[in-house]
Amino acid sequence: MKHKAWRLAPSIFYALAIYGFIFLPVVVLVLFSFQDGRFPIPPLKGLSLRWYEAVWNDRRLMEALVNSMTVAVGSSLMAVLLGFLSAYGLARFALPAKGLQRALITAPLTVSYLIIGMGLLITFNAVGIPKSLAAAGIGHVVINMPLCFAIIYSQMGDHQANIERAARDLGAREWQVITLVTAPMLWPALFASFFLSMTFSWDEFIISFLLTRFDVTLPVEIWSLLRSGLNPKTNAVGSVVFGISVVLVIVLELVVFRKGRRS
Amino acid sequence: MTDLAVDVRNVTHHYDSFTALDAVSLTVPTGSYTVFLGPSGSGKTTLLSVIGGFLVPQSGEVLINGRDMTDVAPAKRPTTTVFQDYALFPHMTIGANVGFGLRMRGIGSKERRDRAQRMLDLVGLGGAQDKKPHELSGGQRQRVALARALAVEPSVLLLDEPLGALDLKLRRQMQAELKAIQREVGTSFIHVTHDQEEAMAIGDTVVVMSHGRIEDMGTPERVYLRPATLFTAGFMGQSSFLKGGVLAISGGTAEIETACGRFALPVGDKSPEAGETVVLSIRPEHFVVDSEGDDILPLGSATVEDLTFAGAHHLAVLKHAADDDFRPVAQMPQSGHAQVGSKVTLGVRRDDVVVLKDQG
Repeated sequence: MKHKAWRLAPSIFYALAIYGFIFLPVVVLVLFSFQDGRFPIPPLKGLSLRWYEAVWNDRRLMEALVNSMTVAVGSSLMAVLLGFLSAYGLARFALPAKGLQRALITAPLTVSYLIIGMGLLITFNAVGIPKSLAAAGIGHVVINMPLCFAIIYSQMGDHQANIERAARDLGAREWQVITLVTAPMLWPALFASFFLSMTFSWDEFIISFLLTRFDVTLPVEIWSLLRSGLNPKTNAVGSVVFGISVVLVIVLELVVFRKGRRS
Repeated sequence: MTDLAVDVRNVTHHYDSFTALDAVSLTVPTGSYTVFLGPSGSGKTTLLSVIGGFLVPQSGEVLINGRDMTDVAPAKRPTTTVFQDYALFPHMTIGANVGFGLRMRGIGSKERRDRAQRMLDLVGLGGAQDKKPHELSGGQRQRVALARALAVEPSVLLLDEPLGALDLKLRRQMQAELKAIQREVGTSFIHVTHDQEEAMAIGDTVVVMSHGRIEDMGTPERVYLRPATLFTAGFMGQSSFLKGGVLAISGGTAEIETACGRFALPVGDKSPEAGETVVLSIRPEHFVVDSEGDDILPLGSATVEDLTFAGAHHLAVLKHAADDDFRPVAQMPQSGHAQVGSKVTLGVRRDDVVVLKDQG
């Protein structure tokens, strides 16, 4: 046994190093958000919630938080809807140049957010759409729709096509097939893509930065806060962002994976 | 016209270069149980899809209850289909599954529930209304699919290899139930299968298909005892084939020369011509062993090569003394003296022999 423990030690050390490498920055960020002092740097002078109170009382930050939530929910709903419809169309109908169409829909996954943001900025300028939360939302639909499409498309099998055929045989019209049969059957995939889109939209910075002006999302507001130097308040708001992301991921795990195990 | 549930006229369909249906015509009388029987690739499922509306054939017409339905979508046809994989809605209760077609027809939830209950009672699943499909066994799902398709009271019910996924015992049981349900509701059933025993047990009419054509069509007894083609004789049940040449035809009787002797045999209306090659088809149970009589054609002697016990009887593979290529399969008594290697005298009743054109 002792011999085995010896051989296990490097593996344990390696695992700890990896997880430390990934999570240490977050731990430090969260830890110093409780700093009872003016600087988020060692030594830790004591624990306090005063910086969270400061965040709560900062109207601009709270507005940005609500803006971020709105953009995340709205753009994710749109991305799931468009992704679902395109997946349904490509999976169920004989379309010209199917492979090419599928490739074109998923292509934005490989383009950097900076390029997409710049492209949208120039396009919106030319068309006359002002910088706004809606513009940023459109940007998030552009980056998340391919992902939703890929997830939902992968879950559409031939077995389900037969079930849809049965619904049509029993008199269902196309919209009834989609709303009563296809979408409920794909519920886990729809849910998964919605929450994944939410997490990506929630902490997306570059596109929001380029496409918003007066009303901004939380990451953009944090960035302008950072320009005036480090202070535990930025740590506190960062911890809030991180906490909400964690909640989204946990909800995703619980709902989707529990669903998956049952069926 | 209205006594025909389905009237298929000259339907042809190709998948790329593969001919799935080749000028197929058939009629299904109202209230009958019809079985399409054939090996895979014979076109039977394609024909069912054409009748159900899932496939528009490249040429030909489909009439249902006397109305042209060739281009009509499945939803608007008086047909419903029981799919091979059942295709139940996994997220709905059994009651909602069965009531789905009624819901699409705008029938209120109270009546839907009542009618779903009646259908579930019919298929023997009265207590399953609130269960989900994944809680049921394969055989039970099959019944739900049947109830769902029958709930909308179709004129024609199409069943695509409905028993294919069930084990043998359950399959035989479901055959009897399907037949009983069909008699009770009086709907025309069209059932696709590759199992010839199933086809014989269940069908009022058996349609034998091969390579996109109808080989034979008739009652199971007629198709089994008097098959129209060599393919039918070989596919529907077991048969031994003896080749021969027609020497002369006179008055419905053909003089046929075979390796086992020269016989005068009655031929039907599709009589071969003199000089043609024909095949004599003989069922295992039609061979008579070691007995003589006026109506028995003597086929000479043969050696038992192999003997299989089949419960009610033995099945013997024989090797004919005069013709090495003729290896008849004959039914032998359950208990008897026959052993591998023993010699027997083979004969067959004249009326039991079916003379068929050689298809090469």
